[in-house]
Amino acid sequence: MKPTSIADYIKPVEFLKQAVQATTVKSITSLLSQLPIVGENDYAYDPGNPAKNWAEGKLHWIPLGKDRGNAGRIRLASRPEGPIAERTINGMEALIELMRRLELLKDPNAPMPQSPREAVARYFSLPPLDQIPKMEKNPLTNIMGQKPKKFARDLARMLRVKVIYDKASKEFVVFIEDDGIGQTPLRMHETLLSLGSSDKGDKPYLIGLFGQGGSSAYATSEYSWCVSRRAKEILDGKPDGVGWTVVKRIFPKNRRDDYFAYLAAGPTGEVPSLPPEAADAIGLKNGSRFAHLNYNFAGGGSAVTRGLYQTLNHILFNPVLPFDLDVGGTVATVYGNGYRLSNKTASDETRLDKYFANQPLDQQPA
Amino acid sequence: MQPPIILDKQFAPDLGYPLGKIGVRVVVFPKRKDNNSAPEGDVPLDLQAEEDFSTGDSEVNSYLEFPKRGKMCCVFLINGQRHHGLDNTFIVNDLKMKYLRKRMIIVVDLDSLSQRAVAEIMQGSRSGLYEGQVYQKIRDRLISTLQGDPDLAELEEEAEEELSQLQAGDAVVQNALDELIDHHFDFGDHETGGADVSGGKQGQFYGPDGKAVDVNVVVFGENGLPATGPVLVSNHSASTLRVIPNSKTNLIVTALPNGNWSKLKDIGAFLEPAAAGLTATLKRNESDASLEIEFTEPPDFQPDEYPSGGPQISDQ
Repeated sequence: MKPTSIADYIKPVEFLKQAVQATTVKSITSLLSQLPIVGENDYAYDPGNPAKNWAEGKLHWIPLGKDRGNAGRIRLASRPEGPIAERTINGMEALIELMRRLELLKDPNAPMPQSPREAVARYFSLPPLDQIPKMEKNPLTNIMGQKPKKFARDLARMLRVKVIYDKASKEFVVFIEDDGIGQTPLRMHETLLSLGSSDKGDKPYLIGLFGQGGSSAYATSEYSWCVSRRAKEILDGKPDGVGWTVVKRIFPKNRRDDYFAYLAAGPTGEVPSLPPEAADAIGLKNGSRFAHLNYNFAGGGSAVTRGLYQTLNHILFNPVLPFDLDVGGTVATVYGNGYRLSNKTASDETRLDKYFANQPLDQQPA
Repeated sequence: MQPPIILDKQFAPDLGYPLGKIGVRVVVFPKRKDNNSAPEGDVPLDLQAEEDFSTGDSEVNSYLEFPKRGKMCCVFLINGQRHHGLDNTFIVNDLKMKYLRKRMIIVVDLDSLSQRAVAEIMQGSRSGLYEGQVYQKIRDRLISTLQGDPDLAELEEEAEEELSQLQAGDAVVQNALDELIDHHFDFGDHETGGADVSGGKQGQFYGPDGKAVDVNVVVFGENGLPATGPVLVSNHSASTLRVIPNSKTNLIVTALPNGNWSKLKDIGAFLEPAAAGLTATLKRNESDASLEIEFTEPPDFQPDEYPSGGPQISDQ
């Protein structure tokens, strides 16, 4: 069955421009109303026969990971900040994976980095972030000709977390954007929208393992949208274009097992696709953009976001890559508490800062 | 009556596979000098190990998960991400370093664990490490590493000594104060306050050398005529003015009673101390002056330089 082309219903460039500006529930539902979507209770996904009852030419809600029992694997977060950190880590991986694939294009036999830190050192010339303030103390130290702090700060711009509070609707929206490898529309459902089918197992240079950490952000928001575009050098034979979809929780009629679903264009799971010009129009060269609307922070407004910088610095204590955090228009780079502690040591504001490397677990402690 | 225990020995299980290594970083802050860390907030010298005396305020607050309420001063990281945390009862009960409990951050790096060991402790829910045998091995190694460190032992000893001197000092100061107050009443000629009694150098007190010195006696400031104005007033009553980065705010200054503004000869504004990116522009108008304060965050401005410790959003 041919996937539904949303370009038959909307003007792709205008639509995508509007789609990436959807920051509230009202705006996303208004956007969805332009599209031919089958009601959430009018199509029940059958993994054995997904084409059953599929209305050709329309969009349908399909369970994430093609599993109607997915709620238990998505509702993992006990605090609202956790999913933001998980999603940010996915962004770091997308940046690393882009560099690895570009490396393989040049040299198919290039050895695989054995850890995320090794990958970051190889591809971004970046040491562990907690070392940077100490390096900065030596005026002669530089990374690629730049002062280490400035170098790290510039790198952070490739990964952006943005939190906006909409006063009128009293809703938070959380954006996570990376300029990483991205994904083709034909494969978004197998990777960005999958659950537990991680392709990271044989890649020791990536961080995640279970393939579901970032998905927890779907449960902490009312709607999410995602756009992604694969780096043009690594299309793997797939056509260029941008994939767009929306994720929401569905409470089926007369059932108590809610689940999370995304908008699919075909029964095999592909997301709606838009042409490369639409991606160019929103400045998306490669990478992914996630937005989580009506994000469920405990409370509202300044009380919540005041601690976000500190909390993310704690959860991502010594991240492999830094990132920018924009809270209500104020941008700060998050390097993690490891870096912040080293800053204190570098300015002689600690009494002791000591490393005990390689403490073996296979010997009995004295 | 039960017989006394003559042997209580634990045998660590051999897990049958290599576990790998851990890295540990420990950071200790100096004791804060401000008044907030009052001696009574510190550890009693006879405190029992199992007592939880954690308080909301400490030197390491800004490095905990939440200001004032986070307790995870010992974190376990995999690829730089925190997967587990312990509060400062670990420092007290396991490390036996109760005097450093509010000043210490411990970072345990688990990147060099074997793949099998990571698989044993990591959980898909990210709700902390699985506290089984591998975790126990990690914890045991962490304790032995830190307990055996001479630098930490020295800092702990120093902190204990400092506190004991402080408490001894408190008693000495208290006695001296009592004595001084007693003597003050002996010499004082103003047993009750009152505007009807003139001031002057009539009181006596003891100086640092223990000798009696003359001091000014306090009087009510009611001499002279009440002020009638004009006075300068502003539209901002609080003593501080908050400027969100990359924004500006305004302050209006005028004279009361109305009509007195023209009598003001000159008015100026300056920033003390000056801060990069912070500017103030004063404009004198017909009936008032407006002060525009703008803060543009410089490109190399560090988040830690914010007084609040980070950027904030306002819904006010």
